[in-house]
Amino acid sequence: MATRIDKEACREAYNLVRDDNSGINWVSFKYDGSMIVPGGHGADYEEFKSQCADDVRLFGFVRFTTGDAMSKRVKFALITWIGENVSGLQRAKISTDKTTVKEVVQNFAKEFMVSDLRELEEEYILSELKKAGGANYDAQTE
Amino acid sequence: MPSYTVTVATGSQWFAGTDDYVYVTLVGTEKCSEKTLLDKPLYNDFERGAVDSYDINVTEDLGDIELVKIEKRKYWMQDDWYCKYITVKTPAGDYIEFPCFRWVTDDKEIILRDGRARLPQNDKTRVAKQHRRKELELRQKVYRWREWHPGFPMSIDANTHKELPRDIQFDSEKGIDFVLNYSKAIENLYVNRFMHMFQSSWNDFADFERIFVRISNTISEYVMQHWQEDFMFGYQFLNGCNPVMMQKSTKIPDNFPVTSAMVESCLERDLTLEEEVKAGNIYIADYAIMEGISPNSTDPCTLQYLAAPICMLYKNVQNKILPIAIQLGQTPGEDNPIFLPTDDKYDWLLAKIWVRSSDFHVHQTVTHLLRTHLISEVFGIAMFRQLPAVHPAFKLLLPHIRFTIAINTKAREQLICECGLFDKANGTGGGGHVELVQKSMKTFTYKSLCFPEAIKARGLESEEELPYYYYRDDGLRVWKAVQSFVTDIVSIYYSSDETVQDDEEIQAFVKDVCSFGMQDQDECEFPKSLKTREQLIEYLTTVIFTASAQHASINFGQYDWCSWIPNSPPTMRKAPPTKKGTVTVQHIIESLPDRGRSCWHLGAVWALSQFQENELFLGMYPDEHFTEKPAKAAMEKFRKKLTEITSFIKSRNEGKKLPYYYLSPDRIPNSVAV
Repeated sequence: MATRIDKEACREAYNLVRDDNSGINWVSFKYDGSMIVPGGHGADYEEFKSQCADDVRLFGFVRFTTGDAMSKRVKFALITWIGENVSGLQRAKISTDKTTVKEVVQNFAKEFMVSDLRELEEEYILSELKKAGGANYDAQTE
Repeated sequence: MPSYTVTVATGSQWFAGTDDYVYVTLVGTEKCSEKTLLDKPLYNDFERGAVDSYDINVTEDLGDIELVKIEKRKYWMQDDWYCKYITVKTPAGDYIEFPCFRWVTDDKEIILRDGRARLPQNDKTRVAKQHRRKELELRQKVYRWREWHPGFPMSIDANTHKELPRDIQFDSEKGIDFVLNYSKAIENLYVNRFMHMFQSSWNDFADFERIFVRISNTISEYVMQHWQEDFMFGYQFLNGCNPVMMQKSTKIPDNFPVTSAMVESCLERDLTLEEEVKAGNIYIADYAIMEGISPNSTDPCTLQYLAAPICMLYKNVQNKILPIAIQLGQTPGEDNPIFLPTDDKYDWLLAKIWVRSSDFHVHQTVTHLLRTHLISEVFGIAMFRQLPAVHPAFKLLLPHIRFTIAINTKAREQLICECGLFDKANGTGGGGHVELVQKSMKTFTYKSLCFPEAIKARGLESEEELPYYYYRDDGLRVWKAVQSFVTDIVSIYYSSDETVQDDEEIQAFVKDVCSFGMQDQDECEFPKSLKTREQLIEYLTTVIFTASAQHASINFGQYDWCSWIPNSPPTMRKAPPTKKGTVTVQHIIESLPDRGRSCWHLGAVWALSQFQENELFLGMYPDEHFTEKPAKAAMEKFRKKLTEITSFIKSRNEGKKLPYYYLSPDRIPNSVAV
């Protein structure tokens, strides 16, 4: 069964996160059978993390604020969560499914493929986003 | 004090040796030895190609040696070690062999069992059972399935060659760097000048000779001289590099309304077309699979086209196969004329060229990529995941998937990826090739891989009817030899059908192939389990034949048949004709590939047709995974049979202008590695 995506519903959710005024910082995409649909959204990143169980596979589009002394920037991350206990077949298809998700989620600074909760820690994601960012003007304040 | 002598053989490939510390522990049924450092003072142990012996002293006899543990500790920097085998001489004077043939990387421990092959139900001790279980657990972590494109057979979970487990990597990555090899090929063929001349047409057919390396008395030269002839066109359906398309016709296809009147002048038996069909003299090559495939649109300056032609072939009174009608599209109509040998010279020629071009696409992507490379990778991954090193099927199959996962990974990295080399010169580049694989997967059946059945399914099994079908003849000989060898091996380890059913590892192996590899499609009819020894023999024969003979037969003829571009155009730059009487020589030249594309294509077919350095041909098993006499005897018998076949083919080819040698066992590599 080829995986499909509910483009309209997912795009709506995606745009909620991108909207500066919505207050929504994360949205998740889960599987409804072989269809990818929005799984939830909210303002608190911890809520997203709590959806990541070890028998679950889902995608997350999350807004973070990074930046240095000179400028604050909003950056987006595409997170693919694949729990340790997910079946081999589902695991095998996650890359091609991610390509399907990218039909909707087109703009992000960095993508993450995560199976360990530690790699979902906000600090870790922020530091990775920072590395992808470029010049660091905080050196002047250190 | 009892003393054991441990002999260690190091691989002879580059970098196989090590300066690291190597420790060995002998695990016996009674006791274990101490972990002993293998080191001879003032001697450089474990050099490439070395066979070093060490004495291990113990306080008491260890009993039967069940396991040999090898541990490597870093001396300085990363220094992988290739251990071929370890032999242990007991105090009683017995020699026990522990085959290894693996890379020992990092500080990992490798635990070996002795070389006797055993089915899971034969292992009774806790130590043995645990070893098997742990080995498979580790292998399933390391060898993971991944879907590369939806609907493709699954492949290895690795993005690059470097990410692959060390044991399945190439010895030297440079050897199979596609970009490097194709560039080298282009240089070797002295065609660099034309490499970048995209959109620049050749002047005429003879102009193609400027990039054609004329090596006399070869098939490629013969092709260059005779490519326009109907005989050459028909001959390739039997013995070219894609001899799998032609089928015996049982009726004239509804969407190909050829009438007796149209082909009257071609028929030689005073029969109507319908009567010839009944008599079994009409054959069809239908490229329906090409319908709807997107042509290469990666070059905005070069429009490229594809077609899905149907070709009718006639067996004349001399048993030669000749084309008698060609329709370039699947739906009959005014814009889709049926071209005939009686048409204008260039109309007929272009129609044949279109068929040859479509054949090239189906050959590259379906016959070659999907049905040899990708399916062999499926068998390989399933083998690593479900069969421990001590299983006889592992020992049997391992040589036949050597480097297959690696070459496919390189192909996904450089060749058939988005913007890969394939896009440069192929009409199906830029995504069409992906569509073609996905489409073909829907009708890819297990039986189509069983050579004798596949030939029968196309109605071509009769030697009397088709006396010059060498692909079939040689293929059946080799299939029988492989089957006989597999039967010998299976008979040693499986005493009955129940033994097969009780072997949970072989059952898991076929299940992995079907569920993951073939994505569990119902239509593919890959077995989900094996019930009898006969089924097991057929399965293993199919795996070995596909990886060796089938791949060889359709791969190494590429330079012979595809180096003369007009005979096998990798793309066409003008749409297929929709009316008769409009084609000129100029139009044909402008349809054929331009200079730049011609060069890349040439480089590709040359590179693909080369055997490797130190190639291992069918039946060559230098790594002794099997240590038992009956197994070794079976291998000897197999090699003898193959030598007989090689001789037979050599005499058969004597004096022929067009010899057929792709299925001569001395030219069939054991595995798909190029």
